[in-house]
Amino acid sequence: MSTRERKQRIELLQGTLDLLILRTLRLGPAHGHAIAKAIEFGSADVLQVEQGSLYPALHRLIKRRWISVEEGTSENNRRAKFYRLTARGRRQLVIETGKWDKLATAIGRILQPSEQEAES
Amino acid sequence: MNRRKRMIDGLDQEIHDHIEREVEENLDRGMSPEEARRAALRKFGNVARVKEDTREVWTAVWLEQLVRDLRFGLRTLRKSPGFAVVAIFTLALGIGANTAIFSVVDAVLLRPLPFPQSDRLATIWGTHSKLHETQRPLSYPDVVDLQKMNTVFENVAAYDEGSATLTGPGEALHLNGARVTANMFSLLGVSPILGRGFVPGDDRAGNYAVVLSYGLWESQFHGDPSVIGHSVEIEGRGYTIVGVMPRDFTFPLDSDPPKLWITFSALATPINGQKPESEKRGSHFLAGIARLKPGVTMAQANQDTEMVGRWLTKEHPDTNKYLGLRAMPALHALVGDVQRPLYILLGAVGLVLLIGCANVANLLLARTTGRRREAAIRSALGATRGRIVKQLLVESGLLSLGGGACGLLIAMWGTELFARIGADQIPRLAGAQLDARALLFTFVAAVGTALLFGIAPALHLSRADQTEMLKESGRGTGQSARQNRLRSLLVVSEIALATILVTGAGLLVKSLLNIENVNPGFNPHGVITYTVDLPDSRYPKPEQAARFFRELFERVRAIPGVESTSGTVPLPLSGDVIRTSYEIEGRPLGNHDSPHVHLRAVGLDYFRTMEIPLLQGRVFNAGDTTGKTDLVIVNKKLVEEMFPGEDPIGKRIKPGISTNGKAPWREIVGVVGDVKHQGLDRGDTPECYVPEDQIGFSSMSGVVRSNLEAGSLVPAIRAAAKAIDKDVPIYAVKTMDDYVAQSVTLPRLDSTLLAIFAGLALALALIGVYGVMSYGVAQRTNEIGIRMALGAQRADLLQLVLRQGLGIAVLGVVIGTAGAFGVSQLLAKLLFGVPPGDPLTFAGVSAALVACAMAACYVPARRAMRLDPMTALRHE
Repeated sequence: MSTRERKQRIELLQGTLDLLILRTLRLGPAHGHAIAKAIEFGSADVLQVEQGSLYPALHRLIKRRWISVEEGTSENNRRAKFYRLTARGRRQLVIETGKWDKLATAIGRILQPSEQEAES
Repeated sequence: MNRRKRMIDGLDQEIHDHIEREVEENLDRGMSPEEARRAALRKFGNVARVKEDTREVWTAVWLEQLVRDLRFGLRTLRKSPGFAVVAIFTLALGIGANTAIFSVVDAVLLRPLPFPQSDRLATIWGTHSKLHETQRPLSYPDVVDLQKMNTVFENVAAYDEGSATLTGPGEALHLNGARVTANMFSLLGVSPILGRGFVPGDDRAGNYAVVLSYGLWESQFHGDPSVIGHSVEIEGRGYTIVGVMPRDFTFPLDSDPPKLWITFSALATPINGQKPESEKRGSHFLAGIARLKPGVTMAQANQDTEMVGRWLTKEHPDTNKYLGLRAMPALHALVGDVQRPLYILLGAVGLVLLIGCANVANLLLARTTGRRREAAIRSALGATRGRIVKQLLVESGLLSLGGGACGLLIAMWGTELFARIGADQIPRLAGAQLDARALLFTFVAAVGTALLFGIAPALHLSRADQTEMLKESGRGTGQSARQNRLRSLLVVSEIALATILVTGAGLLVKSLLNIENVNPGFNPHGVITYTVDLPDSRYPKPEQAARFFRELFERVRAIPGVESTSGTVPLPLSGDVIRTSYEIEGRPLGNHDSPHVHLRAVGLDYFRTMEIPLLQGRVFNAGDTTGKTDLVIVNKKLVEEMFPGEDPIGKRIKPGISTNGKAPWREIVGVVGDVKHQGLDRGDTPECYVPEDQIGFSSMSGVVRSNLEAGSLVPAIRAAAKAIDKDVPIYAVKTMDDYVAQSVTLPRLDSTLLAIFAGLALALALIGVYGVMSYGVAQRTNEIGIRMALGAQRADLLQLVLRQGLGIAVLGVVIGTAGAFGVSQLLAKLLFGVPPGDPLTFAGVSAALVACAMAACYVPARRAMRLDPMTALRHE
């Protein structure tokens, strides 16, 4: 763990954490720590998620009924809370992904107009 | 709240586990234990904040906002106490009056009868197709036949009410009682708490059983359970106590509940060898009640009942020629008469509340001027429109809940007052009180009211253009025309509603005055009345009763201070009627039916005591006793109908009444003036008077004209009665004025309340007019200054303002008059001697309202006129 690595990490945009959680849970139920690890791993450690911020986000999603929570046993036989994507959450994931794509495309166009012109 | 607790439970553990997992991972990566923990904690972030943030997800945000809005609202209202007090007072009047009337309507009209499945109970009435009567009593044989023939009722029962003398160990008591068929209690679904109810054999001749009310059992028998099986004397006959009813049981549901119940067994006994009363089909004295079979509707029940009625007509043409039967819901039968007046009052208070709402809305609108900048700033700082509307509505809610709370005091007082005035005349009114239902009503009314008066100003304020408002100097210039229109519209509707109420009240008051100005045909002032019933068992012969009353009246006449005295049955305006058919000598009936007449038995001196004018012939005198010529005195109406242009004196008529089973021809010896026996608002009917000495009714009401107070007179009368027979109580002591007042209780209550509500409405509407006009003048100060500078005369300015006010007033009155015309049709049935569209009332009310509105405009108009031009010009 070095300073070099930390410099390359970027903070998450507001609201994107929800999207990442939903995407992670599409693969199956998971407990909080596993979700945090999956996000870090998935983004090749680029996204700096303060792990604690996961919990308010998880509860927000429960409240919106996009995910549900149940008691379960983890890989090493410890009791833990497992979060699971609901049908509603699955639908929402599609919507959010679409939104994100649009946003990314739009921002990309603004930031690199010359490249696009050059390409075309 | 529960969900929140469940979700947050275990959060600490989860976070702890999370960090532990991270520590383990770090250890696996080869960190030292301290480093592993530090890294894990760093990566996790602020644990306390995470917990707090997570908890906040589950916090009801709206609740916090509400609390904030409430605090802010309270602060705002405290800053303008004048506004708050006026608004709360207005709303308190409106909501309080509504709650009071609601609790009355609820107690009288809405609540079910106090019997199990009371919606399955039907009242049975007789009808008379020729006389268009629909609420006639039934005869005993008709009830028995209905019970046998019908297919829709589980059971049919009948009852009548009366009073009875109970003689026991102490002084003789005169009590209200009811006679019921033996199946009554089981039909109603109520069992005695002690002993038994009546069983089928109880109504056969020779069986005398009595069921006591809880109250009588407690007061006279000290709540002693061993009274069952004991004997008491009722009307001079021995009855066995078989049961005691529960404390809250009462039937019939009258204002004066019966204290005991007996069956009709005494009526099944032949008296003097005549057919027993219970076998006479022509003798109508019963009220019927029935319980529907499961699945039968009221309409089906009525159809079947009517069919039985038609069958009876066919089987017994001599007695039942025009008679029919009908069934209707028992609750409606009980309260049907007061339904309309009560609903009219409820509608009227509703209108008052609406006017109050309009007024408060107007006040709020006026305040918005000052608050537009506040709203603009809030909106600029990111408050959504919904948020601003919500905040303003919370403020309205505070006002109206405050109004509701104060209104409860008014309601409490109003309900009590209403119950006190009307309890004699309106069934079930005594039960009116502020209970949970009334409180709920108040709350709903308050919330609804807040929405009603708050929504328009709130929307108005939140809609305003931010930038415009921020630019504005906040001095109240640049008022939007829209707001002025809204305010004028509110005032126009206030005036319209007030016009409706004042017109309605005007019609009712005029009708009441008409009723009260009716000449009753006698002089009620200074007359005290009382009633005496003689038990049939000790006074079996008519002559004995007649002798008793003759002696009683003589003794009363001897009391110092008594001017004159006599007796009659039934007493005018008491509600009792003896109605009978009669024939006129020498006029064969042919195909015609015998005419009917109201009959009264009177003692000597009756006409003098009551000051009923003798128009022709003579009154009865002491020589007119049994065995001599049978005599009758008729009223003017009968002469007009039957002897037009003839001299009735000496003619003979035969009213169907007798002492020995054979009605005699009676010679007309006198003609007296018409008396309003049924009610001041009723038409005159043919009446005839017969001497008590020739009839011997065992119940009479004494009338005493004297200058003594009832308090000093009554003991003397009691003593006089006791000197003749110690077991005969006198009861129902009342002045004749009481009877007259009682007969107009309902119309008076109705018109008084409506007049009060109309007055409130008018006052509120005028305040509204005044408010809008003075606000308008204040707003136009600048313009007025310019007009003055350009040479406008003061009179012109006065006119300018008044013209605007006149426009509003006339528009409101025109709309209101149209509305009042519709509403007055609903009042038609309550009006006496006033057509519902009475042009005089309508014109008078319209003119008065316009005049009042102009007066309300005059003050601000004069202010405009008196403005100093220089000040006005400088006014910004």
